[in-house]
Amino acid sequence: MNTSRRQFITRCTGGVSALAASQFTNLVFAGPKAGATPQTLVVISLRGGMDALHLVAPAGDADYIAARPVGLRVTEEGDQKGLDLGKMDGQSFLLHGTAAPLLELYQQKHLALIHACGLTNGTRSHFEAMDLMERGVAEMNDKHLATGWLARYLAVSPTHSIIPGAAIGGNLPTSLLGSPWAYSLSSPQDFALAAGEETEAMIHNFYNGNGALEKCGQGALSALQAVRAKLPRDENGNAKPYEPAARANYPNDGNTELGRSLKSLAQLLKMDVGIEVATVEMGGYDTHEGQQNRLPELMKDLAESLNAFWNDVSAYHHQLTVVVVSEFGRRVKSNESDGTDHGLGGLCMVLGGKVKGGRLLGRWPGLAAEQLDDSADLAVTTDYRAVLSEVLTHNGLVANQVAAVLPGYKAQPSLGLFA
Amino acid sequence: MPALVATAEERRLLGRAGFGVSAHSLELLRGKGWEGYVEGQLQPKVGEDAELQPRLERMSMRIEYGEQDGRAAVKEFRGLKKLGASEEELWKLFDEGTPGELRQRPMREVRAAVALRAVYSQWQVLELMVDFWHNHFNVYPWEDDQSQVLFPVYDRETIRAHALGNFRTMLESVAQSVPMLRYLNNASSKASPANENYARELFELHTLGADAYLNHLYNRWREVPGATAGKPEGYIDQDVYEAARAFTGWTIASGDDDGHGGKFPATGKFHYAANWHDPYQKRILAAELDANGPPLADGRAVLDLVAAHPATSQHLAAKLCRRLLADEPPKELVARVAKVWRDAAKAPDQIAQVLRVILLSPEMKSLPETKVKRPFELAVSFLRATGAEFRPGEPFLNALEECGQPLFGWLTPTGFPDVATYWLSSRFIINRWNLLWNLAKEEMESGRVEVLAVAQQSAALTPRAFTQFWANRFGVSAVVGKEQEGPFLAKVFAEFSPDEPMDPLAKETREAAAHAVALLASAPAFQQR
Repeated sequence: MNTSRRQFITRCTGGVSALAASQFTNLVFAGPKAGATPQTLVVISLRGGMDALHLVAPAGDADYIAARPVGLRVTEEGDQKGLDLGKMDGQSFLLHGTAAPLLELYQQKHLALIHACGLTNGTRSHFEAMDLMERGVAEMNDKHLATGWLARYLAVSPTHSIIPGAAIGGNLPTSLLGSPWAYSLSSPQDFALAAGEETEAMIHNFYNGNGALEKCGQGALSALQAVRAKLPRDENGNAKPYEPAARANYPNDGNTELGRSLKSLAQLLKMDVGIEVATVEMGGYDTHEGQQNRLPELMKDLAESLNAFWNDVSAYHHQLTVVVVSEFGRRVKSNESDGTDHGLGGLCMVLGGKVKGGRLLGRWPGLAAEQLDDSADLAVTTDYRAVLSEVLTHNGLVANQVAAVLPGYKAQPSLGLFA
Repeated sequence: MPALVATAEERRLLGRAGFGVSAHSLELLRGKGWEGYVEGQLQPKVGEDAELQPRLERMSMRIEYGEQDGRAAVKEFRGLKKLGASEEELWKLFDEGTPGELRQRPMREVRAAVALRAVYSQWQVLELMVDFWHNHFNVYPWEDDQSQVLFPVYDRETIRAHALGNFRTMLESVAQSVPMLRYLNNASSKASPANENYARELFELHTLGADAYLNHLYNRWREVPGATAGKPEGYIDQDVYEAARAFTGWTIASGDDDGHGGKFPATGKFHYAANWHDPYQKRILAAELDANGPPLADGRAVLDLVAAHPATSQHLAAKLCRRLLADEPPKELVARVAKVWRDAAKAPDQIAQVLRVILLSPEMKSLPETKVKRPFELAVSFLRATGAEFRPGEPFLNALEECGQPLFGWLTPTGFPDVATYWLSSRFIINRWNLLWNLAKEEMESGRVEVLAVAQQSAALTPRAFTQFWANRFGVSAVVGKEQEGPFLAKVFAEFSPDEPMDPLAKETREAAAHAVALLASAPAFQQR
């Protein structure tokens, strides 16, 4: 997208300060990506703290077995029998049976799993942990940084098009905070003004100021027009309903929160509106109680939705990376409500056409009391930003650009995520 | 009689101290002056409310379920019959064979009543605070039938009863309420390990706040500054772990097995299960709790500690100022409010005292209107400004969700964010415009918006006079000023002559009028307060 177009489409900046605006101007380097295939980065946030130990489990570990009733574990035999993922640091890991559709992606070597990964800060607060992660930082002092890491990533990137940043759902997540290039959308067909197109010009005239509200209004109108222009239509000019690819089986006919969002995202990708970054949300992981009933449902939905999405956008695999994160993992030992409380180390998943998948990456710290953080929680051996920085590097950013996106992060030995 | 038109200052005050200007509130304000109005608002005579009461009594909502277990099918409109029901009466909905629709009904009635009250109640400060506390003590009742069934009790006896009262008293009422016990899982918390969900959010969200969470700095309670003198500056995970132990056994008389061979009573009331409680000594915020205290003593001691902590006064003062005034409220005002909060800690009207300081502060009149209205505020202020005959239909309530504010439908315990960065996104703002459009067009099963009749009382019914009347009412005159007026009239009233009277009964007039009003209310000045 050329500069004048970018200025015309001014987006929702929310409460972004002048400081943030100056950060952007400083960040727009001559990028390395000219001529390269545009990359699309999808970030899926599992809200509530996903119990990594219930999805990717050291099933045979004696400390693991001792810490939880069988309903909150993956086992080597019986009803909760897991699926073999291979070894990391000599420890065998099994995938929860409900997440079998993830095994397919893993065996195709598109999916890599990074265990004992997370925030090095040690907070067990959902809201602080999410805030820090979405700002791409680990220090509490950076909690009030005016921009999210994906907003800074978009600012580095030189090739903005119609919808550079898409938050699938309602609000802009903190990761996109302060970006003038991010929109929130749901299903493209539903993205419309009830009063009709002819009203847009008038509202546009009302929103001619420079405040956050006015800019949001202007951006929304531009996005409306852009999406409308790209929406596939039948011979009568009506928007065609979206048909996923034949092999894309979104769970419950695409009626789960995640399935619906990923289906909308697949549709947007195929409309070629130039999405460089998309965020997707899935809630419900705060399983303090009754985890044996709640978590398997979520894992099933997650695995089936991801698998469907991957099969839905097969033409885009070479330029696509999906990162799945959660704010923290959960306590190794369960509580008396058949649940688990807030823990530390979690699981990060990376799915992509260029990912060297089918592997467990990172370092396994072990579950013996002295190996745990505060004698209670899975330790973090891989800073979540190690994963993000490799994705950024793969997407063409050079070291000082990565540093601008992830301030304060000191480069660590490569995980070797990408081929 | 021509309707009163609010001055800019009146609009600002009523926009901050409630859900915006209505003819009735404006009359009250004019009659008493601002200080007198505030005093009246802080001592509401609930029930004496001529605009609201008849509408609450008249309100009906659809209920529909098929024949099941020998119960006849039902398809009818029914009044808000569970709103005032007692715990005992509501708990009967758990009798076997009761259709799920009936169990969800009490929560739905509260939702409808909250919307009606926001529009019509003369006790606007009370309604604003009810909204604030429901948000502060957020629960998500949609997936829990005990919470749905008892939601009227939560709204009435926990939130409304204490909305202008004493915080410590309200805190205990919340801690012992079925919706909170279920939502943050304390109902299943027993020794040992305890369930930490409630204890953590009690510190982080209900009282001290995240700024006082010092876990990244200190690992042991002694290390927290002030701890050895009994005055720790903040809290760490160890405080959360210990507080969780203190609340073990705070549960519900649900009729369920107690896991020790007995059954809890089945009344739907708060219940203390001594055999679930972890009785041994605890240390919370540097205070020692002895082993084997009397029933409830541990939990109550924690509530005393967190309610009295200075960080709580700071957290709540800032949150109240943020809600009433601005996303970034003036620090000096927050400090003044926090001091009154602490000084009035024991007063039965602590919250009213705190509100008086904010409402009578110079900032109420002087700060610019930069607060982006929540979708509910936007819709209610529109309905109040237009004097609509409103009833909260399902399409209306669903539309709020499309704007980011499903009433009583926020999943996490934070409640809705109270800063513009949440509400301002392309999808939400488009749906805000759509919400106004559909309300004005009367397409939400939500009553009548008689903008022609109202305007006719004060102005000639020409496109120009009509437009200026409503622009003035909404405080958005600038968008139809000298240069913009012509194009606006040409577009919206294309089939009319700007200065010729319109026929108020003609379909074309009604449509153009609705269009004009929805557009004017979409202007930035009406989207903020």
